[in-house]
Amino acid sequence: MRIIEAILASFIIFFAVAFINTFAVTPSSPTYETSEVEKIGHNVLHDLDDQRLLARFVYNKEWENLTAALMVCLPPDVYFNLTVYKFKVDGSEGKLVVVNDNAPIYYGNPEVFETSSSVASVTYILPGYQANYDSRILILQLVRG
Amino acid sequence: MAGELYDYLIALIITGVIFASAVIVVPNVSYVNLLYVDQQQLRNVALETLKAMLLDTGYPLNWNSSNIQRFGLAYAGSSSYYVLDPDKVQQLNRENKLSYVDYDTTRRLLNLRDYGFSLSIIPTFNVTISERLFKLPDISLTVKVSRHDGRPLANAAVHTTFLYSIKEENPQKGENPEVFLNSTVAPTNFTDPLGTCEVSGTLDNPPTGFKIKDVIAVLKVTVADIATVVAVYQSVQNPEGIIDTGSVGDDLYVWIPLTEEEKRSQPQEADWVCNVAAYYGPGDIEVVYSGGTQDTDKFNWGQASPYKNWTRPIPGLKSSDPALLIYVISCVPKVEEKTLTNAPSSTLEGTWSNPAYAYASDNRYGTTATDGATQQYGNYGFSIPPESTINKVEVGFEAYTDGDENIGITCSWDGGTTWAKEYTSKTLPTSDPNTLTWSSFNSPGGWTVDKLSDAKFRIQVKGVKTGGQMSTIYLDWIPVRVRYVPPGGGGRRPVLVAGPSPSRMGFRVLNYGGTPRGTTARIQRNVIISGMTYIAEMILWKESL
Repeated sequence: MRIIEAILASFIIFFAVAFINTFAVTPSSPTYETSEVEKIGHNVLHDLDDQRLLARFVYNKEWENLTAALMVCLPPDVYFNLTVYKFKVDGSEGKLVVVNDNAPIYYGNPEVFETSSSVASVTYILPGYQANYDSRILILQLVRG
Repeated sequence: MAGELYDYLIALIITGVIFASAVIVVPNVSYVNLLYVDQQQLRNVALETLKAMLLDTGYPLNWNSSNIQRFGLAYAGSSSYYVLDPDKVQQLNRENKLSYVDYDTTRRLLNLRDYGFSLSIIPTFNVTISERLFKLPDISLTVKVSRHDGRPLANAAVHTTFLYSIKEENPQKGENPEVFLNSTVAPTNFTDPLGTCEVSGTLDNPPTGFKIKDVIAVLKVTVADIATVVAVYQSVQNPEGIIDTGSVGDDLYVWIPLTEEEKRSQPQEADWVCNVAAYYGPGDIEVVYSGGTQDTDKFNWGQASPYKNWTRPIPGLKSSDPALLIYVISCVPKVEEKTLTNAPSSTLEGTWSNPAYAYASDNRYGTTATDGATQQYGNYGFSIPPESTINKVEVGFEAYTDGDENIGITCSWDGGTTWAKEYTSKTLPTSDPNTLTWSSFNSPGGWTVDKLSDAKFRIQVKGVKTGGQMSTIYLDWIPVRVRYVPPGGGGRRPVLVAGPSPSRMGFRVLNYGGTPRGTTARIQRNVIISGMTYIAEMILWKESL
């Protein structure tokens, strides 16, 4: 009788442990992916900035060149969508205005950025170009295709 | 009472066994989660390792394989991140005879005892040359630019500079021939939607008394001003293993591996460096060393050394940081010999029966039963690049006889006016051997491509009687085999080599470390070397579980 009780008790312990394990917090791949893709995105923007290409593309509105540069610098399986903002003072209020609203800078299906659960976002600020202070804020969205 | 005690004991043991089993089974049930944990750990280690490699300068700041204490590839002279020192990267290249930091040393310095890794540094996009034609002074190349996943890159700008060595043909007696390096910039071309473009150019005529000896096309391909550099050689498809170059600091190095025969036979023929030019961009070329002769710039070799080498300091070289160095080396380039085996397609003069049956090995035969009867064959249709060096011309025959006859073979290089010394076979077999017997022929002054043209080259076969009675000779096939070296090979001349090579050699495409296995983590970062963007990719895995 006690043997049966012990076996039953053991099964209860076993299932309890298995049940609790399902709630165990383990790092999920999408979370990690977002952080890694963010790093890649920041690295690429930094690299382009370091070569003095990024500011030239942005301030001269060379959007095609900027798209091509991001395409070759980012891994082939990473889709991107870049939006360039500038700060505009309107009366007493300041607001962000999209600079490239007529020329979207993206690679891959734009819907991916709305449907994917792991979109990484990188913010990069350009303070100015050729000694003129005129900042631009770059929001680079990235997702693995 | 005793029964209860046993019950408790047995229950305790069973409970223990089930609990222990649960401890083993449960982790396996959640294997996927564990895999995530494992990968996360690997990626964290990979991230930290790659960061240490790319952002740390290492110690000492300009370390080499003999004094390295801490590993890091960052350029000490740069205030920016991810700018790598080409000297340090070159020391991860196994071909670098001067200083190579081996994989185990790097693992130990990075404290990666339980992990294996591989590090690749590759250009941001691929540039391949699908066709190349060096018909001097005209050069034509077909270039394809694509992403690493194979998708073509349209509108890539291809800036081409042709560099070529010109050599004095008849120097004054007792003087070394002068060798110069010249360059011509071709117009910039842009790739089409398929990522391809044609690049062509014509080299300037050399001064009277000089001749162009070798050409290298340096292509700087830019996509949105992100550049990669590729060199296309006339003399060799890929100089890897033939001539290796490198630079550390202000010092230049060139190595020529020795063949086994060269290692044994001393002294060897001297090669020497004539000129060195630094390439900064299209048309921006500076000759940093010139006037090298056999007396001043000969390659040195040691008794047991597997290569001969040349070294020279060029003050200010490292600070000028050229994208490429072009060496003009007086040597005999080792170019692969090519073989062409062609069959005839016309019967010229002759009296044999069904001579055209000897066009192919098809068990149909040209025959003769007459002693001394000849038959000529021509139109071998050799397509050999002009100015190739012909090393050997051989005629093969597949023949037999009913009796014990022989066959005589000769060839002519001037349309049948002059003939080579006739070869007479041994007694032919009495059935079709279905194999070829080859015989080589010489031509006065050596064979040339012109002598092998259809208008001039022909073969003649002859029935040769042995003994008192002439039996029938059957000829199944009469092909000709030509061994030749295409233009660029053969003979001493000033050969051009680019280094650190932009294609499959040197740090331009670096593959360093071990072979990945099991679960891996892959991390990529963009880096800058000599002002150009590359992708540094690290793969990390656990060596021991």
